Amino acid sequence: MQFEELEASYGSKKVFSKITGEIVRHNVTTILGPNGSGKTTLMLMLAHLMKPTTGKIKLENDSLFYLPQRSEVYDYMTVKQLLEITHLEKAESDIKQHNQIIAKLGLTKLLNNDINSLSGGQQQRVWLAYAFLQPARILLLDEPLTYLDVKYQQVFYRMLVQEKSRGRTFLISLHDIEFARRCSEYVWFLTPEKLVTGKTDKILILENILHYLEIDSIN
Amino acid sequence: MTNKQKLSFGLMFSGCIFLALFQLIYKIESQSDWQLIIIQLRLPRLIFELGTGLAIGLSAVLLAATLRQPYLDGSMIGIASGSELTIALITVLIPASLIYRVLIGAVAGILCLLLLRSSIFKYHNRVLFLIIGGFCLAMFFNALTTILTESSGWAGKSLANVTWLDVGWLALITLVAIVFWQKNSRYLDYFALPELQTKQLGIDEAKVALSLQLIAAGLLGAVTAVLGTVFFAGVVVNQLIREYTHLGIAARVPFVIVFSILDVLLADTVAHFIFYPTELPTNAVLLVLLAPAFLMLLMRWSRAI
Ligand SMILES: Nc1ncnc2c1ncn2[C@@H]1O[C@H](COP(=O)(O)OP(=O)(O)OP(=O)(O)O)[C@@H](O)[C@H]1O
Ligand SMILES: [Mg+2]
Repeated sequence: MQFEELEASYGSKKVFSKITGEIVRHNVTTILGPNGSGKTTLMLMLAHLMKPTTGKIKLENDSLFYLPQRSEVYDYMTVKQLLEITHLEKAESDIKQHNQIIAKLGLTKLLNNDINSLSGGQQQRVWLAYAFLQPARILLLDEPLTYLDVKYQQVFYRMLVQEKSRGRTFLISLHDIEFARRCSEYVWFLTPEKLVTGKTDKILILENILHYLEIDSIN
Repeated sequence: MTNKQKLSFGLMFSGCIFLALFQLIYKIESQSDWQLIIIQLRLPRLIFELGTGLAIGLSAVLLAATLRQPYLDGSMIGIASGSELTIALITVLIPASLIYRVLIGAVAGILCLLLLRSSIFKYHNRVLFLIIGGFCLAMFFNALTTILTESSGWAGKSLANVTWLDVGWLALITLVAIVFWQKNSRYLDYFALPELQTKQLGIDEAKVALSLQLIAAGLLGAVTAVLGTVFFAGVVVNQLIREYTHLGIAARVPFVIVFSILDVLLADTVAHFIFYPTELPTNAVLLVLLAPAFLMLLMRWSRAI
């Protein structure tokens, strides 16, 4: 999936321009960038949920799902009811895998709870399950680690690796450099004028981290 | 459904039947022309009460769901007051057409909805804007109604003068509403999700929301033409049932409707018979009856906090 010369603005306020890049299939790509640099905006555009001011996005027959960095539920809804939405068009054989994902994210005992009565981390796990259970082949996850404790950050990492081996493609945004180094093949640094992309080991070096994330030392 | 839910539904339903029968036959033996009274006065009034309960309850669920604002109903954003104002205007300008007041009310409710959709609904993710803007509109309509009706001595807020023509129009409007409902109700639960998610599910949310809001505005406008505005009734009924049953939007609808009908029946029974033969305004009685329910709701919320 490729995109060229994307430009984003809210009203008269420009967020970024001339953003060009490619999401490589069956890999994990991580977007890094300071708050407000436009990571969410870029993901919304790639998911066709927001129109770019200018530019082109080429999506080849792949279904795509975007998980926002925060999701609200507006009425009474149990975890089970939410997750059932995802198997509307699923075959029997998928249901087993379905239950595995629910179990891994520690949701089996929470299935009958109202989503709004769960803690922040529990809610995030519910939404991660919702994302993993989508039929889409490309998943865009916006800050998936938010609210997760150490244990579930690890669970999430393992699920990422496993789903990738099943042929899925991931684009995730993170603020955790070490997690990015561990989980992704490609890293993008988002700046207002350009997208700096490359293989993780080549691009995730001290100099780039200091420069693009606007910090003066790593500690 | 759990047993507790079944039980409460059964109780509310029985309550409705009891009140309906009571309204038909209470103090009827003292009347010489009792058949005429039942057929010409009590029966149309009773049927209209059922429609009123349906309209108040359903419209609240639909508006709260489609706007993703649980604490909101058609009275709070001016739809009911708009219908009431239109009826007041008609009373002053062309009183002869008042026999079609239910239809006029429905049209007024819908026009009001369209006005809201072209203005403050555009900012529906700004809660305060929606609630304060809606309330301003409601109060503005209310003030105009007061000014208009001050000299004419118009008092149309009792269900005592419901005619068979009113009932016929309400039935027709309800029928149209049912057709819209059948096409769109299966999407109702998805309004618990954020817009980003319904979009990704491929649901044409704008179209579904419009249809569901049209049902709400048409029904509420129609019954308000006769009953007058009952502020907060819908939101109290909807929220009380939500807190009590813990059911999602669609599953809650029958409960909300039956509870709302029960409230209207109770209010009109009180309005009709407590100082018999003097009538009290039904909408005011309904508001008074719902005050304890509102307090209960507040108490449950405070416990949750
Ligand atoms: N709905 C909106 N209306 C106006 N401006 C917006 C809107 N959403 C985002 N912005 C602005 O666009 C810029 C980019 O926002 P975006 O949410 O894409 O950043 P981000 O990189 O995802 O930040 P974070 O790390 O905090 O999630 C910010 O400056 C923000 O103020
Ligand atoms: Mg963001």
